[in-house]
Amino acid sequence: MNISYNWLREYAPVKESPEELAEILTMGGLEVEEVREIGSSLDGVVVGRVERVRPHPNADRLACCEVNLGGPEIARIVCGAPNVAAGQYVPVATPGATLSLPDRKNPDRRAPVVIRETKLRGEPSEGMICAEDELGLSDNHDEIMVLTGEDGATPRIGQPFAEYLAACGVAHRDAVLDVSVTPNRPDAASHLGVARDAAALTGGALRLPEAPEPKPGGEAAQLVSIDIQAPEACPRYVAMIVRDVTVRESPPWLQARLKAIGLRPRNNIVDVTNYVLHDMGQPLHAFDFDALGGQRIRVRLTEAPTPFTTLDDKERVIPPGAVMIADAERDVAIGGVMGGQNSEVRETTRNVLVESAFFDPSHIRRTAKALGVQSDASYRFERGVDPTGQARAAARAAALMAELGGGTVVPGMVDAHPAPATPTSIAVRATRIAAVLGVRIPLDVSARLLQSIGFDIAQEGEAETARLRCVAPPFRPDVEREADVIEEIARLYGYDRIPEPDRAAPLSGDGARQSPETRLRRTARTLLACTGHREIYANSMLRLETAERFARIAGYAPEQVVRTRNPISSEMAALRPSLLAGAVQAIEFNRNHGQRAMRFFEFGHVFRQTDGERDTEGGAANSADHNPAQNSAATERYAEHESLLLAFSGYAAEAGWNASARPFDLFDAKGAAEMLLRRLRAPDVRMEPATDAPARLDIFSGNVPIGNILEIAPDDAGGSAPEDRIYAAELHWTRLVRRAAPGLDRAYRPVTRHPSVERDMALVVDRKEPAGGLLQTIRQAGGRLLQEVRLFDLYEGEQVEPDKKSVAFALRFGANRTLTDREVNKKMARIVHALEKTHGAALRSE
Amino acid sequence: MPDDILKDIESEIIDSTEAAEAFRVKYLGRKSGKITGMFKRIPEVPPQERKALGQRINQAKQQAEARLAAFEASQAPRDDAPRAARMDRTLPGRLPAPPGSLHPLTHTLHDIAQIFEGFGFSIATGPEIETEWHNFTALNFPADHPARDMQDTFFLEPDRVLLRTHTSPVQIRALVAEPPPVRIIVPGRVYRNEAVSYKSYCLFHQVEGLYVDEGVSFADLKQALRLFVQAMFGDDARMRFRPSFFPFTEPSAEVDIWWADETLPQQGRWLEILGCGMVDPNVFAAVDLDPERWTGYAFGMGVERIAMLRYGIRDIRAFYENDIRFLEQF
Repeated sequence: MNISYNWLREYAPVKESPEELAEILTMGGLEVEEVREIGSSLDGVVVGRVERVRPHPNADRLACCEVNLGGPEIARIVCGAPNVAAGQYVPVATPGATLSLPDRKNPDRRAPVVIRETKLRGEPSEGMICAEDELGLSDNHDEIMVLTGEDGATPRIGQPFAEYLAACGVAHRDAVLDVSVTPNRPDAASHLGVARDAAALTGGALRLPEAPEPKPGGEAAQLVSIDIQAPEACPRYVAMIVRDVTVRESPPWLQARLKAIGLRPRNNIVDVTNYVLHDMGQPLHAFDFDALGGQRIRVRLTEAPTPFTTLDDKERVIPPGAVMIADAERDVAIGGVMGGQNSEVRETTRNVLVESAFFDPSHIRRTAKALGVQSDASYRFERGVDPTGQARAAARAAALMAELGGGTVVPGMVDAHPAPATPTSIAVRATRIAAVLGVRIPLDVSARLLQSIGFDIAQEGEAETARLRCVAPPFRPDVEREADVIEEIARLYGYDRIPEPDRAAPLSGDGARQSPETRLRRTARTLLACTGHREIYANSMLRLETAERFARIAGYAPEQVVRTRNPISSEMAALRPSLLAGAVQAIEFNRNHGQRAMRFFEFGHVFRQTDGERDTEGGAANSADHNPAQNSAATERYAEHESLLLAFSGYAAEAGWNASARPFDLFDAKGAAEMLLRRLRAPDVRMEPATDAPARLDIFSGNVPIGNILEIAPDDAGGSAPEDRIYAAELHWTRLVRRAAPGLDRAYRPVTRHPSVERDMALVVDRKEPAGGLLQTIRQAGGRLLQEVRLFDLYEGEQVEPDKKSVAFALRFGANRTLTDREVNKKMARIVHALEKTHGAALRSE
Repeated sequence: MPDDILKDIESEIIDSTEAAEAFRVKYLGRKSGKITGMFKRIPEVPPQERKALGQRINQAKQQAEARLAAFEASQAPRDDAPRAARMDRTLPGRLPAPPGSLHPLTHTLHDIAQIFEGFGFSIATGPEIETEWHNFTALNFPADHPARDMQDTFFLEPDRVLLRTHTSPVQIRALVAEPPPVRIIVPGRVYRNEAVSYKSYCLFHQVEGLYVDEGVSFADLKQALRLFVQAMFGDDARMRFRPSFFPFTEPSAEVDIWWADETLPQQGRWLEILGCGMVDPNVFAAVDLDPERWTGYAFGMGVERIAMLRYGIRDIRAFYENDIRFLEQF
């Protein structure tokens, strides 16, 4: 919200510069995001009278002017404005003056330009006749500024222009503070409100504008009646009438005020409503009184969608439940949001009805949201205006309209449902202030701070029972509780003045007690990063079709994909059922950017619908089951768990001087998963070829499925070259942690000091015999003595029969004693026997 | 007997490759070597002497091997010179593994977490699919608060189930799960229904903090966050607490740090890095805790924002593009 420094100083005569004031307000809770200087130094700009105008001999659009600046010589100035004419008083920048001129392409930017004597198309020009934008007074560049003398001051030839402006009540320089108002500070959405804080924070006094309120009734009440049919939506409606006004341009001071805060002046009546809104924070609406039928205002709620044309000439459909202002026959305004075209103030308007109402915040919020409109009025009503300020604002506006429009205020006013004063008092205990803030602020200091922003304070009690009895001012509807008052004390006292405690908080070992989840996640991340994997973070939201494809791959039904009701775009309509989709995207992105080796991993949550079946693995469904009906019942239809994905594509090794290139294959994914599971010490891990898919393995720890390993094409269409395919392992991290956690606190096993015995064994088996079964048989038959078995050779070809293959294993035996040859031989024989029996294997003869 | 042989070994002259071979055959040859022969005869002596004899023969063997090694070492420079000269020592080394990397958000999250773990906070997590009650109602958001709009929040079911918009619902879950004292930090992913641009993304990461106990005050909050800022941004980091507003804390503050930037007229600017405040009594009421007995503070910060500051990243989308040329820098 824009706050003019000059305007604010009318109410809080602060001595600080705009920047200093911005800092003070920011530290007091009204954050100033930016300070903009407006206007420029007008040194060297003087009032001149145009004596003669003749066409420029070489340019159709230019005119050669002779301008009297009060000096001995008449200045010759070339001017391009269409409205220049002899006899005009105009502001002239003389040679040597520096103006801050707007950039034609970007009018928000200004750059200093020094005015010089020059020649334009061959004609001498000794200065510049200025338009308003060139003087920093507005954005108007259509014509030069003509000083008509109607603005409250009479221009004199040779008079410094700044002096003329000052006589008109216009300060040629100002600063605009862009204040970010938090939702709890509706009072700060006006110059008066910000001034109140400024005065309190700088220790100065607040000067309130004078606005004598008329008594309800009088002639005004005879001219119009107010009928509030929806008091819950409109608890108060004040109306005043101004008669015989002339609708015209506002005087310069008022225009300057509005322009400074970024508003476009329209006419004196509308400008006054905007001025009072930004001055006092009370939104007003001005009706053309003669356009209102039946001398009656009704405030009603719409029951059905209602077509209505607002004063911005837009035809809208007003939703049911909106506050409408109607005359005896028809709707004339959307209450608190925007007026109607049928009753707006026009040039022909003679009599004006000023509306100053209090509308219920939630009604206005709903209506404004449904219409997609945020007006200066709705912004303030939504947050809550001062329920006692309506008559004051109406009186102020009416008086100004009468003054600027040459009319008279009809005596009296209509005040429907005046807000009954309901000051609630809040007790604030000294002990509580100290407990919450951690500092002992003397109670009378707190009292003075609160009084400075309009609180009524009484002190009660002694010592431990000392407390303040506070009545918050009506413009602070947010202050309802002791905690709210303590916050006010804290911000006015200054957060920076609250010292840190002498003693630190008690020690806690919690930080050192990391959960297994955290410990294992950190281990996995470090291991993966150190073994060549790059961590990625992918979007959790996917196109629905993509999510369904990956749901199928992950073994869910496509219907289980979780969707958002209001996606940003169809690209992000569903939540990821697995992390694979994101990795596929990252792989394609990098491949398109020339990368040849992609080894990625990601930790993240994945989601699915469960049809109400409870997922015992974690996620929303089974976390803390406290409380209201909304809690677990609402989320039990969804399951969510943390997942870890490894994904590979392209080349596992590039060709080098000592190595040849090798594309990734499924065993890279499998090997990485094996490495990880071994490091995490997941117990009893098995990787079993899936029966329903040729290129997938399912991973188990014990009987718990903890993930899978698979190979996919980048899209359903193609990518059949091995280096274009994607190999991945996805682990159900939540389950894996549960399995691996007990191993974190395992006991040490002493290392045997006895030598181990190594034996090799080459087998001939049927070509279709899987190696995994052979290994399993060897391990089973080898029993506890067999410490390690490694498959070190796999051969098919001339040396073995067709349909057979040779598989060679290195075995290592050991125990906590020295093994004898006999023992080992016996074990070997047992293994070979088992292999023969189970797999039809034969020892390969040399 | 091995003692004699020691002298013999010592006195042999080895001055050529041929002599060395003859020496090897004479003493260590598999068939007729003297030392080999002695080993073979060990079983002939009484068992109690075998160990000592074995040791002495071994000593002789080592002596013989040492002489051979000495001779070879004396020859080595001449023999190895050509091979060493042929080796191109400028060839690149073999990497034990290709280079890997952790995501910059992981680094930043980890650094933040580690600081607070050092202060005694433990890590807690919560679901990304949340109830409106946890995400808004229990956190004292009024029923018609703008944040509850569809424009700002992704809903799975209107007015009931949503994607959490902040990590603060984990405050509620933690306070419900166990009685105070509670001292947790909550890293996690959150979602906002915002147009994607260089400065906002539809999701981002936060770290939430919560400390509830008897006697926790705003002064304690200031201390914890001052220590955090110094640990994260350096001991000379300038910071300020500025009053602000959040529905679930009161008083509320935002913390700015001074970010030096020589291109600006003031040589820098204040940048907001986190929001914080004292837990609002209504939050305690929502989880059935007595606000007269318990007080606490909470804070929350955006991880992307801090990572962008640390690394000078200008476009938030870079975090989710996963370009290897970006990832490899961290």
